[in-house]
Amino acid sequence: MPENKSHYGMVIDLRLCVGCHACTVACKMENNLPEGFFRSWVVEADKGEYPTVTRVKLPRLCNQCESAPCEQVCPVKATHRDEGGVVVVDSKKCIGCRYCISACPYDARYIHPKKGTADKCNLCLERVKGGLMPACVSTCIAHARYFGDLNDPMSEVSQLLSENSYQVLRSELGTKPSVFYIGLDGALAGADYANLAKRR
Amino acid sequence: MDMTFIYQIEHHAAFGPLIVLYFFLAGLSAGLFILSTLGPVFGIQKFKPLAKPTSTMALATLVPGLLALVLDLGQPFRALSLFYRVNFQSIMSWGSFILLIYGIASLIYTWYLWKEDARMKTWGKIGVVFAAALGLYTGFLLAVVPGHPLWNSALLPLLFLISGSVAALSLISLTKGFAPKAVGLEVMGSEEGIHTVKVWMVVLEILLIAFHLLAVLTLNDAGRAVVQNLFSGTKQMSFMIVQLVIGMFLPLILLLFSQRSTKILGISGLLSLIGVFALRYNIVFGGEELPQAGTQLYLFEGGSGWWLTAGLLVLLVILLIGLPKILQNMVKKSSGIASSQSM
Repeated sequence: MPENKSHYGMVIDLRLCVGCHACTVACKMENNLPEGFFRSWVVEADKGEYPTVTRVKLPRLCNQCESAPCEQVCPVKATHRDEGGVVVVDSKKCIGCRYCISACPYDARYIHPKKGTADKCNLCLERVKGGLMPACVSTCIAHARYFGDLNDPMSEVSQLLSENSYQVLRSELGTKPSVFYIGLDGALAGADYANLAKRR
Repeated sequence: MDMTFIYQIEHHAAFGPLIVLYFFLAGLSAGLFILSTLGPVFGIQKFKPLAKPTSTMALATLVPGLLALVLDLGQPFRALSLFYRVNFQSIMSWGSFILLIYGIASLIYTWYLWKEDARMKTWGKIGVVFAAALGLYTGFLLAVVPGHPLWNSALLPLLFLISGSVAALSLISLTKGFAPKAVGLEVMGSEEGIHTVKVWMVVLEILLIAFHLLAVLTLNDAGRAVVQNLFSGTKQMSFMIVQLVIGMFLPLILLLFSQRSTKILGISGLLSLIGVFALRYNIVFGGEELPQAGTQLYLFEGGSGWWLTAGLLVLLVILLIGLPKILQNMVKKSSGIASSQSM
């Protein structure tokens, strides 16, 4: 991405996350999301056995990949880049073919049951354009979520990334996510195939 | 280390039964079209009697296939935008043009073939290229998705093309065995050739599946889990019993040992068709069923999709029987008009 352009991204400091799910609720309210569907959610698990047990958390959202599989497979260019390189879905162009949903390695997309088009997190771009933070960032009670321009070395997100070691999800796929985690527990980074749930 | 998930959400699988049906019918249509051109376009005498019936069968399978594709869209009325908002990076964009050109070419080819017009050779050659592309692209569509190990393989396009050809040969055996008059297969004379080709195709299909699964098995944890899911998980019945036993090995045995009875060959054809449908189902559903994170399997919302699939299969049967008669009448009328004009 060219340096003179802004590149919006998010840093989530998992050392601070308390797993209150306020981000999930704020996102649902801000974006008026249908029941049973989420743009942002928090996965929680208990790791270990009593008495050595830890609660691990992982807030999830669209990873705003620089090399986004969803953008590549969209046959009508409904998935495209907006301000700050944010990957967005134009619901007026989307034909609802679901190809992007199958291509996304982060489970970030779904078909909106009323619109029949693909939907996902757009980092609350309308709020950002209006000078606000994304709803999940504004509402985070633990100040675990940070949003800003990754191309601006003075931004809070750039500072955090320069001062801490960080991780991204599924780096092996080469999607170059713009969502970074500090203190990510490896146990939550992928699927737990040994304990797959039984089909209902 | 022990992990107990306290909170995670269930995600909805992208592709449902209508996409399985589309992949099945697209491959079938492509296989039938290629078979149809072997005699008149490429001069293999043995397959000449098959040309006309298989050309209409290719059209009859294409129509419900296209309907399945459009009905599956969340916004079906925007389907035409595939042709004016093109993303050349997307295999689906390529696929929509392949389908368009193949559809037009097979329509014109069938018309000239039934009219016995020499121009069918040109359209047959164009059509055969796009038929092969159609069979291959349905596999490519899945092969370029890196998140699903069962899909992400260069073998998939070839597997889909080969299994589409198996389905085409099987539909001929099935209709020859049980309704030869209805589809115009009374005079055939190419059974032996068809069965020899089909045996090799099924063997190739089984080998491709084995190679593919072996490679996926050793890929990583996700690969191992997806293969285990086929052999001993939720897809055990549809993979082991329906696809492998009923849909591949049983018809192969019938083909090898009972070539004299058209009825038994018809049954073998039906079983092979079930096997090819199950192959598409297991690849599509089995490939996207396992989660990318956590422990929850993907949700499938197939209720209305399965009913629509059944409806489109009924439409397929109606078209298979009706299309040859409609075409015959149209050809008669058009040659009647031509002869009255020349007088």
